[in-house]
Amino acid sequence: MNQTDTSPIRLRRSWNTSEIEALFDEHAGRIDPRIYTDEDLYQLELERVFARSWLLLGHETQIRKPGDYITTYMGEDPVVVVRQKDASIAVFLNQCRHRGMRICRADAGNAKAFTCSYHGWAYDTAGNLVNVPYEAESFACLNKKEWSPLKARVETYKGLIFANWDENAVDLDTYLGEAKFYMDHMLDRTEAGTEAIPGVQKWVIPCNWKFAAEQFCSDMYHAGTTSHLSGILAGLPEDLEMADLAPPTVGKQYRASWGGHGSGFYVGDPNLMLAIMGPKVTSYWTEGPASEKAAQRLGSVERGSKLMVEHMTVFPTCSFLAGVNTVRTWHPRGPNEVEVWAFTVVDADAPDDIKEEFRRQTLRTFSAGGVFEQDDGENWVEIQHILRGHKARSRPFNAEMSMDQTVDNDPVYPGRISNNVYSEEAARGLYAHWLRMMTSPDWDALKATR
Amino acid sequence: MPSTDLTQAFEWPEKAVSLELQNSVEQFYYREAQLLDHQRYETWLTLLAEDIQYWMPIRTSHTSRNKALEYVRAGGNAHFDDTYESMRARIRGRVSGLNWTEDPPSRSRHIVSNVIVRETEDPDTVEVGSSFLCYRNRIERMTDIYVGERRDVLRRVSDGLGFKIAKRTILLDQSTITANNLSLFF
Repeated sequence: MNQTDTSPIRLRRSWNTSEIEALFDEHAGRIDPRIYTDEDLYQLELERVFARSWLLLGHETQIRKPGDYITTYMGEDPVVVVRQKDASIAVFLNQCRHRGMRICRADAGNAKAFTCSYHGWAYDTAGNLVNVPYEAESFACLNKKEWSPLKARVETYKGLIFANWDENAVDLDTYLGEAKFYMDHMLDRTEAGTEAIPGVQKWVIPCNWKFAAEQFCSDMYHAGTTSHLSGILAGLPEDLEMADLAPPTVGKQYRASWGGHGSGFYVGDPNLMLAIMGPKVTSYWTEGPASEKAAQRLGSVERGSKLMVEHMTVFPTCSFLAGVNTVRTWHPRGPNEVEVWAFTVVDADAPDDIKEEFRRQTLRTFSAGGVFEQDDGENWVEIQHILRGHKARSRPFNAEMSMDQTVDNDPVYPGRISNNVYSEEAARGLYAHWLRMMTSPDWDALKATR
Repeated sequence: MPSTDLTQAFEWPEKAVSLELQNSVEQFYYREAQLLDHQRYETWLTLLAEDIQYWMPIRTSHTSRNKALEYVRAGGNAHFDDTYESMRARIRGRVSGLNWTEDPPSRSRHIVSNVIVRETEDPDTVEVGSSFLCYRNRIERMTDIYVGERRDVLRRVSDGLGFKIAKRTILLDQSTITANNLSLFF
């Protein structure tokens, strides 16, 4: 190394490409459970998935004014997300390059500058190193530009802030591709856009991040069967019993042509949405001026007012439920743990009482203490705990649900579409893309798989 | 009116309340804890006033200078922000036998201490600050400890356990929740 060389240090790895390729068999629909447990695969994920995917950091309205910042993570790397004077957004590694101290230790706020508390190295709001104590006496040759914290590329999509470390990655627009069509069901219902209700709820679940990402990508099945029976019961009017509620069955599922994204939704039947969000939100979503405007903007009455409880994952770890409007990032914490960072979005021009109803209903249902999501936590923890077993890791999981039931030329819905909302086609897409990323040495190789 | 600033200490009265009142409030809390620790959720619900606000705000980390930003304000996202109706609905789900995160039920222990009572202008209403340590153990070895402070408004009633909870604000001493869920009531 010459004295100004700050190029990356190559990290050791143990799995070879053919071994990784055997971990998921798309055509047979088989998942090797070791993808959820293996420490070396996890380290490779940090490098090949999290260090070069577009990751969700938050919502633009969480940092409205110049100097406003939030701190969050990209994989396990802490980052600072700061609104600049020109209204752009800077994202930099929350680590001082001197001895690795966390530069900013608050969750959010407004700053004119950041100063490392260890030796006083000071940064502007874009993360440029601008001042070093005793620089003239002690760091005669310091190239402050070279020794600024690593910066990430930042791009937004209709309010959501994404970042990516990789200079060679495709831009966010290309990365999302036709998945934008499905994101728009929540993000583009009005020209006013969305805003985040203040407050991010964070909690820890000892399970692999892929269980969570896959569920929001592809798993309406769990909601339409046993997982959330008590949650549904908790949302029914007092005079209705479980037997009075026929679970919806009509819907569709989307698998991205490339990129691992997926979404699924019921069409027409409001029963599950009523049980989750109550009559007021369901009415706002399906009838009246706001719903009509959404239908007009989305180019179809069905898309604007008849899609219910849509689940979606933007690969790898951005997940949300259009209609419920909870949005979250799954932050990986080793193969055996994930942090959920969740907030709620509303149409910026929605009436105050509708915004308030979204707030109350999402925290009542999809939160650590929510009547739906508390049961997800229970399931995922047990799954991960069992995977300590030798035999438990020695046979594949079944991922063959609704195989070969898709069309690639639906007249309305782009991508690979299943007319069966209960399918694992989108999950197969997620794992197929995971495999692509895990076996591609760089973005040029990845682009060649499109 | 006492301070509603949650970053400030509970505004205790200069002189402690009578032994009798102190004792009756403490005994009310111990009985409430028994109901929760033995899954008598429907009876516990009868302790809540119909106009209850049950609120557990999200807490965040800031330097002391920005202490005012610590709690996500009322009207923002929260861990709990419930009415009597939504609490009744939660309990309907809870006792259904289908609420997997509490079936099999957790073994919980609600420890209550540091009870400070403040009388108000309304002779039937008291404000109470107390500390809790809530232990949860479930299935084989999953163990969580929740610690914090409750700020309640209690209303005297002539029947039942002598009080109803008209308002409860729970200050959980965590920013990121270190448990996999918040399936208990506090």
